[in-house]
Amino acid sequence: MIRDITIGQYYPADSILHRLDPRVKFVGTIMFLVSLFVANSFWGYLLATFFLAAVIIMSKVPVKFMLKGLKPLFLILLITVAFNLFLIPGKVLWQFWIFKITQEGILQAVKIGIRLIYLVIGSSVMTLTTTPNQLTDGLERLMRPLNKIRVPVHDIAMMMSIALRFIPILMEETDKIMKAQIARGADFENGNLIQKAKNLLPLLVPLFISAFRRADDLAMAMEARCYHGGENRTSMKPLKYHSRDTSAYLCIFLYLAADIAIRVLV
Amino acid sequence: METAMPSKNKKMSTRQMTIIALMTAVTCILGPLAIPLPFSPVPISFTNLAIYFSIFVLGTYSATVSYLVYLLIGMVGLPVFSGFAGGFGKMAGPTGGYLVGFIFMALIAGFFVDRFQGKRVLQAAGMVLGTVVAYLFGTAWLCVQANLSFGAGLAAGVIPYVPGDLIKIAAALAVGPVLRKAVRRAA
Repeated sequence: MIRDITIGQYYPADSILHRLDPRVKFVGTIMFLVSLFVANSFWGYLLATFFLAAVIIMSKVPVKFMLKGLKPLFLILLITVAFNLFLIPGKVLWQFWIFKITQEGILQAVKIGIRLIYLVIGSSVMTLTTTPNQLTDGLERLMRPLNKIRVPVHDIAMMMSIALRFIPILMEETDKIMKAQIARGADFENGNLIQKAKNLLPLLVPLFISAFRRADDLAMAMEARCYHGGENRTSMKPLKYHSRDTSAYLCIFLYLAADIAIRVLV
Repeated sequence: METAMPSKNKKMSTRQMTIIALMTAVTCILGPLAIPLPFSPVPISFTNLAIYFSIFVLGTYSATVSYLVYLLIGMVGLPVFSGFAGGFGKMAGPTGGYLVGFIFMALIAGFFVDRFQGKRVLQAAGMVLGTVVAYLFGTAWLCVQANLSFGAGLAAGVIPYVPGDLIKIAAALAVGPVLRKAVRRAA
């Protein structure tokens, strides 16, 4: 049940994609998702296929890691394709009882399926080539304009960093609490639903109390080190754009422009 | 315990920020877990149960912020969504609407829980209402994303989950006040 998730889905490698600024990868991923909705023809999907394939090759991440992200999608993909297959009206190719498969239905099912698969793979590229901390930094920078409408961007980024740091600690704490309670006779795996819910209490109460005590200690330690919010703070590892980032932005927008052109022309 | 909304001009205090961050970490630990139900094809996921717990313990505002930070953490790739899924694709994918809908569930349920402390029937009503809103968001996005009719979206994304969600509401009402009492006693 408990396992280490500290590094998330990051796959270490030395590639152009790994070295790109995380902000570029965020923007790129979002543009790619938009393009999947813009495309609605064979040529649009072909362009998306080539772009995605090129990105995957450049990332040097094995394809099986990309495909691993599709596993949780399997059920929803099945449901979606089935619904589209049977419920779209059109030229009937096959019929059995009340079920009809139409040519338009097949086309629509294929389209939806490709879109869902590319969506997950496209997102996996970002998470496989960027560490969570880099993404947190990138997110903070991308969200900075929200400061103007009084969203506390720095505070959100700080909370993300703190939570990321404490997940493994609290995970370990959960494991210790479970073992301690089991040593005293608690049974977390048997019994009916109500008993399982009751048995959660000896786990949840100490976990919450521990979390709150750590929060108090951490707040005191931070303030003792003169932390008082986001103003006038510097960054130990500031993000800087390089020429490769500019080139990447150019590629992204060229791809999106081509996608829109195909949509308009076809 | 400060559960009141901070004044508009005042930034979050450091302590409040660390409490929300630690609650987010707890949500990241509980969120991926699930218990199978014998009579249902979908397991009971702990995600919205964790949201209810944080509502009881932190209050509406902090619980909602905590959930937003949890969403961001899942978005950057940590496998903290149900079934140990994670990544931007989960958010943008067909079931991402439910994750966004949970924000409004936290706000609505939180309002009822804060407003009607000790009155479990009204708190339950608030949780049910919040869950309905989350279902609406989730189903709307599922229909757009997967090209389903609303009825098909409901059949795929809502109806199988109803029994588990009702059980979670009951569990939250039983466990939540105990958690809140224990935490406040310890603080």
